[in-house]
Amino acid sequence: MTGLYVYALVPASVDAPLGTGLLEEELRVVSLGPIAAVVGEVDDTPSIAPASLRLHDEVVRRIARSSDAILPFRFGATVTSEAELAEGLAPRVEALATTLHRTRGCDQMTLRLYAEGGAPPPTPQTAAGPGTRWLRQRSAEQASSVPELARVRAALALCTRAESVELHDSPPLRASIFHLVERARLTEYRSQVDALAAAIAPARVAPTGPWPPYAFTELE
Amino acid sequence: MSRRSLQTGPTTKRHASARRTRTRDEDEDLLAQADASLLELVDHVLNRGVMITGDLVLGLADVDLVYVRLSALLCAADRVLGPGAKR
Repeated sequence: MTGLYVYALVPASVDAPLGTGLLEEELRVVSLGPIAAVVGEVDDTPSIAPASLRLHDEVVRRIARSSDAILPFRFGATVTSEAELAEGLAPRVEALATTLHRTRGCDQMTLRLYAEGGAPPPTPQTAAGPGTRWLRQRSAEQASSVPELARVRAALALCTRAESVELHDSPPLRASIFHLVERARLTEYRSQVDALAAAIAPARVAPTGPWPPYAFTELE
Repeated sequence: MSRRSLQTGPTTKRHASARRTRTRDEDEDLLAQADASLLELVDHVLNRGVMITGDLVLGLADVDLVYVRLSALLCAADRVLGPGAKR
């Protein structure tokens, strides 16, 4: 199969040499109006393996260094042609441009919140479909509250541009918190995270990053 | 087009004389850190990021190509596949 592996969306103004991709293919930019896609022509689809996942991330990070805003694609996104890519994204180009703009000058930091106890509420018994049941479960989990989560969110709200929270029902992991942080404020952010340790003990947060904004690609 | 090797392998040189024997706890810590690092990578690279509307081909490990036709793939995997598929 010959196709285009899609790495990321960037502002249309990006024209720096972007190097090579996952399979050592030359990267190029496909214009999509106000935004552009960074792609590489591949004749094979990379398999999922730790090394290939790391390479994908390395390529996305390299692209991010050449651009002040980026929306990374998920590993494995391949289209057959530029036309297919343009057709697929056309209905959402403006929304994507808005979402892309939000990431300007920012990296993503990820926090995993670990806390013992406070088992999640049981799954509501209902005749509703799986989607509705899942949404109700999520709502019930939100309502049951993880007190440390509120403290973490409050402590970091002032030094983050955006936040996304995902609750987990696999204790001790209770939540993943994703923050979009301006690069100039990363040191401040890390200091705030360090200061949280005493405030939320015995719960703890494990930070990783900076990452490209993988968790901030949903359309606004 | 040359293809970059995607395999990892053992290093070819060893410097046994310079190595200190690690304790079991240290080994377990190292393994735990390596696993955590890989899990973080998997979660970010496979679970998140933009997907596109229309016809999309996903290469999944050694499984045959999965050809996906969805009208709105610009969302997280748990919304597309359901929460059971995510964890």
